[in-house]
Amino acid sequence: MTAPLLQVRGLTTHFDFGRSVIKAVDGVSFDLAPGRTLGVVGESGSGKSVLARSIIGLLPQSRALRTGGEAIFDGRDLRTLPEAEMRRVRGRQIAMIFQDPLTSLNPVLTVGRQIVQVLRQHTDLSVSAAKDRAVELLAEVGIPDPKRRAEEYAHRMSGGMRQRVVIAIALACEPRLLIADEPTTALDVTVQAQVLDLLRRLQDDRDMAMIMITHDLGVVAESCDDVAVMYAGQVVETAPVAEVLAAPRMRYTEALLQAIPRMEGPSHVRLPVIPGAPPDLMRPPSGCRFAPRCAHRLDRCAAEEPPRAAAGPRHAFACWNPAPPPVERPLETLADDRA
Amino acid sequence: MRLSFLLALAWLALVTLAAVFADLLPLPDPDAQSLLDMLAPPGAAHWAGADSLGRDVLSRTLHGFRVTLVVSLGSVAFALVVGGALGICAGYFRGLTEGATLTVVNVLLAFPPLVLIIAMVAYPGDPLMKVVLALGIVFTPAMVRIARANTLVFADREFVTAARAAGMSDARLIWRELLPNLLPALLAYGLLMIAIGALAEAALSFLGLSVPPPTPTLGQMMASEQTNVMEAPHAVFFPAGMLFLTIFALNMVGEEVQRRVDGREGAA
Repeated sequence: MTAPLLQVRGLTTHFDFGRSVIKAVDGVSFDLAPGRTLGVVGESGSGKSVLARSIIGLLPQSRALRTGGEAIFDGRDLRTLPEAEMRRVRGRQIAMIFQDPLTSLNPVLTVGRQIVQVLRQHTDLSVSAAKDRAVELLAEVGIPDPKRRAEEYAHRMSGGMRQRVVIAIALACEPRLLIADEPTTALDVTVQAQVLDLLRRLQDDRDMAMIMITHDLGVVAESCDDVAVMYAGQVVETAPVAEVLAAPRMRYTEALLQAIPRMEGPSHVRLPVIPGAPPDLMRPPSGCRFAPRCAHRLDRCAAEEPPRAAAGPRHAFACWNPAPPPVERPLETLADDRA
Repeated sequence: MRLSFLLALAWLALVTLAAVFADLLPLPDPDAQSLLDMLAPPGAAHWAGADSLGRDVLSRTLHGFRVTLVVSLGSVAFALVVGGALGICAGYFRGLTEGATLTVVNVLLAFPPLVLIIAMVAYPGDPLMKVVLALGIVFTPAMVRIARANTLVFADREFVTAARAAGMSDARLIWRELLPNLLPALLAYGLLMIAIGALAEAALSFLGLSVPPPTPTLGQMMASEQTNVMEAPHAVFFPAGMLFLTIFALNMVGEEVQRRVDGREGAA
């Protein structure tokens, strides 16, 4: 494996409101190599988006903000970088795309102009050169008749087309890391697949690393190399995709996977659900944070925080009473073929 | 609605052109006195009659409109630029910038505008500039608040976050991303302010606080001729009627534009 592009170590983002502290991200660590995709999965409110915004430095400037840990990108800790430096990293080195492509495009600027803006901010291109490049980028993300489309406004385009424009803006300056925050959630299923294909193709062309934030395990299976499962601000299991899908060890991951309808098996079966709601991040439960909702809870789960245990070379989890490892690993070969 | 809107626009265009090109029109000199024509009613020699010094009322009215135009447009432009910039910065940067700006604005709003204007006009300097500046300062607080309120709405939108995620500098973000979104609302409000500015100038010159004679202004014409209103009503009512129609037209255009701007968000 090549040297990681991004190393996150014990990252914490807390919001301290005096009487209570919201621990939105609480000690997250992972590595990301160039050209690889890390899927970050979790329920709403598990801290996925705050994690992404912590890395790219887009948290609201507030006195309540408490940050800790480090995010080493290309040898520099993004957390301690001054804002002026960080601005050069954003868009140029690390780009981000958001869930809803309509709201993340400016309603009164043509899409071409919005690409030109980003190019002009980070490069020395002249206006006309930037315009030409914008048309090229639109062509690259698969927009038909890009020259004419560059003169149009976002509201005249379909959802999939808009997300392609958003991707073109994000990739304008050839970033080395793309953070995609639920990039397909607002799209139709067929369009989702197209956008995921496009992202993967562009990623392969540029050897770009990607963090894919999603709550959709289908998206993860389709587009990621590794997965980090988040629960209540913590990463509870990290593993290569195939390994996590076939043999999850942490009970939360297991429960998530069981809640997905299967093609095989009887059709009229009640899907298992995870009872209860995600914990209040102001008062997370002691011990394992998933314990109150866990069907396999032991006494020590509520008392002690489980340590991270290794289940393979790149598979780690935190659970006192893990799912048993599979007897043989038929999918292990699958896990490595995309590496 | 359509027809009245067009009529209002046509009227404004006519008055503006007549005022701008007043010197080129075949009109008597606005300052030329002809004592034989004192208080002459409208007729062939003086289309709108003559005033108590025998000066042509139509010519004086059109020349007076120049002051009205400069003062109303100038003061609104001042408020748009200064108030707009302050309001956008307050809404975008929040925190200390916002607190300081709003404090100044609230102090200005608490100050009686007429006292402010009289105090400013009392200083030496070019009278036209002083009136423009005084009214501009009076209009600024409202523009600050409108710019700030609209900025707050847009600054929370995701495209601003997305622009920030693309590493855009604050200056570029405000100028290229936010301003195009704010401009319609600011201009629509500015258009309505022009009518208030024109009326305010007339009131000030009626009180003798605007540009002093011999430069004709509408308010000053009405003030000096009011004693003869029974004998020669045209000398007062002609400039007054012209002002009334102009402000009526400005309000009509302003309201229509505002309606379209407000509808824009919902229709998108």
